[in-house]
Formats: sequence, structure tokens, C-alpha cells
Amino acid sequence: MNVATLVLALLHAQITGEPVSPYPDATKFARGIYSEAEVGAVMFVGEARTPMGTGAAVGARVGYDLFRWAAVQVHTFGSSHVTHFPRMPQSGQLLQLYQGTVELKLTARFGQIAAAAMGGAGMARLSTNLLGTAGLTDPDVRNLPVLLGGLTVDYHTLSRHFSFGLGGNFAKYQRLFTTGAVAVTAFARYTF
Amino acid sequence: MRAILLMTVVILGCGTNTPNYFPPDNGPLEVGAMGQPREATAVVTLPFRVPTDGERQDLMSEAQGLGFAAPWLRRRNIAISIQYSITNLDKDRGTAQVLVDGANEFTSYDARAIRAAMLMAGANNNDVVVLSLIQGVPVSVEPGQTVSGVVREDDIAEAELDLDAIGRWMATPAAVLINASEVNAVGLERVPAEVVIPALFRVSVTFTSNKHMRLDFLVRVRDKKDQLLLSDGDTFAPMAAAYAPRP
Repeated sequence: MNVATLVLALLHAQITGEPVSPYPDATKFARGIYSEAEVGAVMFVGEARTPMGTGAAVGARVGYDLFRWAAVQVHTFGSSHVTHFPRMPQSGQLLQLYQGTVELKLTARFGQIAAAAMGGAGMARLSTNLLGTAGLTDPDVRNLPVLLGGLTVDYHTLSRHFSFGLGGNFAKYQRLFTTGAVAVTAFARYTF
Repeated sequence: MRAILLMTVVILGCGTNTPNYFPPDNGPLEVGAMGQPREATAVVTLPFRVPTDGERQDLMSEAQGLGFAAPWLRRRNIAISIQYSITNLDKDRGTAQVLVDGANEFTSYDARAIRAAMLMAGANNNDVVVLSLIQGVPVSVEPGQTVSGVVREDDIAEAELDLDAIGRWMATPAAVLINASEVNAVGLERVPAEVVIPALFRVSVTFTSNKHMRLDFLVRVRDKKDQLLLSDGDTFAPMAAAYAPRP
């Protein structure tokens, strides 16, 4: 085989070979039941901003993709706060806030990136009655209905199951006399 | 999935044995203003549930085994502390002190009532020294300043031992109240080794000051056996005998 024949063969191969798409094929990402674990922070806004401060938070979600663009999920979330009530004995106490919500999540995917909006409702529980002694709730109130909504941005690793992301949400707690709370978290997602 | 399980365990773990807070019914104590006394007392009665029939039976069986009464509320199951803040409302620096008395289900101890009774019995005012179960250290407070403090769980635990020794085992109050039991057990000689120390169900906080000051406080209770009554129901209300010194 001379050189000319070899070059022609290579050119032929380049012309007839299927070009590989540089973009991920979202249809090959796993879909269905998924779980997420998140860590981040919760900051209260309004009257409880100073007393509750910013607390470390962890959470978990288990959900199901109804469609590529819609999912339902159950979300458990907890945050821990050190209270600060100037000149009051309620200062310096540890207080945890736990919540469980059912959420609807709507997703728009752009290759490896997905943006989602979600909203839901559920119940929250304060670990102590401390806020009732300081007038931020009625006395001995611990269970709080909660409504929340938020946004997430998710980056898919192309490993089919895994993705990572950042999320933020705003929660409004009924029976807690404050505007609400903002949570910002980083999460890892595994889709089965 | 393991991460979710781990986080669930962490979240559930954070929720165990969390405290309940009880403020005084009538709000903060304020003393030393024009026309006000320099001492005031607030009583917080902690709402415990009554024992069930089965629990009552267990207590009776236990008492028969011990040979003396077994308390429903026990020091090892109920941890009490007091968070407080003292605010000087005066224009001058002053000194304030927090004193704590209380009652378990057998004995009630009120240093002010004991002192008043001794004075009425004819004792000389200068000779009457009655210690509270817990004598806080006097603190100096600048005008407008707030000083925060805690009567710790171990302070209350010591007071609970002292009160039981005084009430049921004929200890001399001064002997047990001055000495920390783990350092010097003087006065505790008659306390049986197998005794079950009763917890306080009533806490009495006295605030004294030589200036116009305010005491905000909360009684903090960690209830390890779910004996606090946090919903409707009958409150445990024992008839504790008031301690009176022997003549």
C-alpha cells in the first residue's frame, strides 16, 4: 500500500464516521426515584432574625420524577440555632427547628445544567418552647405549619446517576411571629 | 442512601432530651425602686403529670423494698437549671443576689418563711441566719448594665440532695447547705446509701438588691422520663410538709 492509498483510506474514514456529539444526551440520565442530601444554612428574616440568627442545616429529599420536567418529593430538613435575646435569659440557648414538607418540583434542563423551581407545604417543629417565653410564638407552641418555595440549580456529572447543585428557599412559618426564613444549601443527588 | 440515613439519625438525635422553659407567672422581679421592697420572690411550680396506676404500684413496691418512700420525681430523671439576667435600672452601681429555695414531694423549704417564724418565736434578728438551698454570689452591676448567669443543673442537684437530707433524714441545714456533698459529706450521715433523691417540683427564686434592679429568669427542665405535663391532664400536686427547724 503506498502513501496515497493510506491517505485516501483515512479521509474516507473521516468522512463516513459518525461524529460524536459534544453535548450530553439528557435522555440517558437516570430518571425516576431519586434521593438528595443537603447541607447549608438557615437565616431567619424579620422579628426572629436577631434572636434566632443563622443556623447550620441538614436535609434530605426523596422524590419521584413524574416527567422529565416535573417531580414530587418529600423533604425533611433540620437546622440548629443559638438564640440571642439581648438582656434576656433566653439568650445563649440551643434551639432546633425540624420540618417535613411535600413538594412539587418543576425542572428545565439545559444539557448538564438543570434549573428547578419547587414549592410545598408541611409541618415544622421547634425543639423547645423557648420562643413562646420570648413572645415569638404563643406560649408552648411547638408545631408550626409551613409553606415554602425555592429554586435550585443542578449540575449533572454525566455518570448517569449523580448530580450536584445549589438551592435556596424561603419558608413561611405559621404561628411564628416573623417574616420567614431563608435556607441556602448545597446538595448531592442520586437518581436510582 | 447512607447519607440520608445518617442525616436522619443526626436530626432525630438532636431532638432527644430537649429542655422546656418555665417563666414566672407574674413576669420579672423588680426591686429597689422608690417605695418598693429590696427583696422579692417568685415561685415556679413545674407541671408534672400524676403517675399512672401502674407507676403508682411500682413506686409502692419499690418503697416496700427500700423501707422508705420512693419519690415519683427523681433527681436522676429531671435536670433543672435557672437562666437569669439582672438589669440595673438605677443611676448608681448596685449589688444583687439570687437565692433559690424549693420543694420536693416530701419537703418544702423556704428560708424567708423560716426566718420569719424564728423572729415571731422571739429570736433576736441579729442571731437569725437562715441559708437558702442555693445562695448565689452577690454581683455588682453598673447602671444600665445587664449581667446574665445560670444556676447550673449540678447546683440544683446538690440542693435536691440537701433538701432531702434536711427534710427526711434530719440533717442540720447549715451543715449540708454550706458543704458540697462530694467534697464534705458532713450532715449526710443519716441518709441511706440506697436513697432515691427526689427532684424539685417547685422552685422559689428570691432576688435582693440594694438598688433598683430587675431579674428576668427562666426555669429550664430536661425531663428524661416524659414526666412533664405538656398537654391537658391532672398536675402532680403533692402536699410537701414545710420544713421548720427543731426548737
